[in-house]
Amino acid sequence: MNTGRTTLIYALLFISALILFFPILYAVSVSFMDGKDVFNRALLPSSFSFDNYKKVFSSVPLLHYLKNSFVVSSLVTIGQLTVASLAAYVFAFIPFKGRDFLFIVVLATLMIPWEATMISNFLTVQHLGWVNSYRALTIPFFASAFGIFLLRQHFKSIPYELYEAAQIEGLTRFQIFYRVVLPYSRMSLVTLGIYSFLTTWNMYLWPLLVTTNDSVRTIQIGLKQLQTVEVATEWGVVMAGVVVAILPTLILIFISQKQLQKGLTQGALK
Amino acid sequence: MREIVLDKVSKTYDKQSFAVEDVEVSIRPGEFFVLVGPSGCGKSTLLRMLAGLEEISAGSLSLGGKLANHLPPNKREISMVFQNYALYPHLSVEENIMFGLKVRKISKQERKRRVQEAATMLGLSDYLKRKPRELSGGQRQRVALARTVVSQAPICLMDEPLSNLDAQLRGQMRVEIRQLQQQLGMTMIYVTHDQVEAMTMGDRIMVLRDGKVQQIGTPLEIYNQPVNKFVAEFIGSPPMNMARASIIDGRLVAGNELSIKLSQSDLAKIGNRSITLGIRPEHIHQANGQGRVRTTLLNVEILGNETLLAFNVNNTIWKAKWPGQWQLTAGSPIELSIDREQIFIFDEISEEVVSSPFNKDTVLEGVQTL
Ligand SMILES: Nc1ncnc2c1ncn2[C@@H]1O[C@H](COP(=O)(O)OP(=O)(O)OP(=O)(O)O)[C@@H](O)[C@H]1O
Ligand SMILES: [Mg+2]
Repeated sequence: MNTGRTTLIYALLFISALILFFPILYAVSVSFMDGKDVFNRALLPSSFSFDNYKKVFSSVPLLHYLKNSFVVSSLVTIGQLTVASLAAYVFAFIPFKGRDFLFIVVLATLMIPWEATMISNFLTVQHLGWVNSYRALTIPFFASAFGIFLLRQHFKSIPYELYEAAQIEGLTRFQIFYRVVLPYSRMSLVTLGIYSFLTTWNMYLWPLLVTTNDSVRTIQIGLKQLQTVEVATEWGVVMAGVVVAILPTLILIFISQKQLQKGLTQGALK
Repeated sequence: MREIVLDKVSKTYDKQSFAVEDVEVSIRPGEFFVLVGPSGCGKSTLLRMLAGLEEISAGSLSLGGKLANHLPPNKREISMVFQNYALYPHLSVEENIMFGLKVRKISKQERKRRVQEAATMLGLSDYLKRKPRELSGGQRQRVALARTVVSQAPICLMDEPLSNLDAQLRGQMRVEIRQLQQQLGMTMIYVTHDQVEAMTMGDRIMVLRDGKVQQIGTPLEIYNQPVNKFVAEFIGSPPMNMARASIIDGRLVAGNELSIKLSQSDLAKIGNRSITLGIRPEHIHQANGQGRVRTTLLNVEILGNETLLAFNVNNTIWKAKWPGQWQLTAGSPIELSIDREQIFIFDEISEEVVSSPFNKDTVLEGVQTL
């Protein structure tokens, strides 16, 4: 490729990236502005200060929310990985009567929107007395049809000979699962893990429903809280909260990107 | 060491047809036993039943005198080498070799010792820290073999282990596997569709076709005394030449090209069945006045130490193998002679041997040629 074309392509990429990221960049910019800048619709803050950040941490328990989000997202990630990998292992390797039918049933649940079942799920959770506890925020998400599907597809690509060789070596089914299948599929486990962490982190409606006080409230609800307390009109403060909320996810993506790339090249066996 | 006895072992996948049917054989301890046959004849299925990876539909398998039909794979004291080697990509060569030993809770020192020994034996010492993807095909094959060596299982099963290698490496690994088997004294059951591997490696060969055993015997028995047309054609390269033939005035005639005088005993054996004539390429010589073939040369392949001639007999292409280098031109007429003593005659319908060099009455034959 000649340099002229490369330059053009990079210029286009840069512009599209700028457009795509504008809301986030602007949020970062606003989070450093004082009230006057915001009111004048300035693009960049006239003076640079951390006042908004100080204020947001003092007006709502932001760290507490962050901790809750972190706990909930981690628990859901671990739960989903455990349930999905076990189920996918059975669907991929252990034949039994009606297995394929069962798998189709699992897949079919993908077609039911989560919102459609939310009321009944809420009633169940309420009945169990889980409201305002981590259980309500995590356990309903442990079984993920998408995760089962993703992992099963990957497990299917494991050469069956590996499974048979392990059988001859005398591994039990469960040993094959964690000593052969899981290490072999490390990359798709990481992918699913990141996916479930991020979706859980960004979840809004359900946490709003099942929490009535701050004890286990997550960061997304916390942001909403910002608008109800007196700082609602101070956009700089709200944006500071937003930046704090998205920072962990950005960091996660940056770290995992490296990991994912490494994994993609490593996993290739000839 | 234990004997492997199969008694009327059968396998059906769809309950309608047999993938393997009524296999009866006993394999002696320390024997190199080769299963050979064309693709889809049931070799892998049979091997996998021996390994316990596939259920036996009917019949019985016993290992060392004990019924083993339902024994799980790891209780059968076997090791297995797969066509694609089945190495764990996330483990290093060393860990791959040790994998089974760890599971069997063999002490760390013993594991190390066995791995060292096997690695030296197979020339893998320099590669122990690498991952399988950083090895060549031949090296991966050796890792798979090393796994067998360290397991010290008395029985080893191999399913076409050399089919992913190039011809030269295959020749080399053939010798290595054979040596390894003799050195360790293990019983080897080896699946291949390559008749050269079967001939050169096996103590005994079992030829399979459509799930049925055709013949079991030493390589030379199979080569010299095939029981039917299928075995005769399958073993040998180039394969045995075949042509439909008939008896006219006491002579065996195939098309316009071939005509041979037969002995009385052969004629008696043939009676009035329809027959196929078979002759191996190395038994067709330059014209010497006997068993004449008159035809046109179709093609000449000079292989350095021998020359392959192709020609037509009764609308089938035959090949003759002559030692040395023969500069002949394709398209020219040629006269050849057939070793009368080397002729095979098969029943055209049952494909069984009617007459072969080994069931001829040699005394009568002597009288006839006088
Ligand atoms: N899992 C299976 N389900 C149904 N049919 C099968 C299965 N495995 C093998 N077969 C059938 O059984 C027959 C024998 O197959 P097998 O794999 O034993 O052949 P093979 O001799 O090993 O051939 P190749 O040289 O191609 O490996 C074939 O007709 C095949 O289609
Ligand atoms: Mg096979």
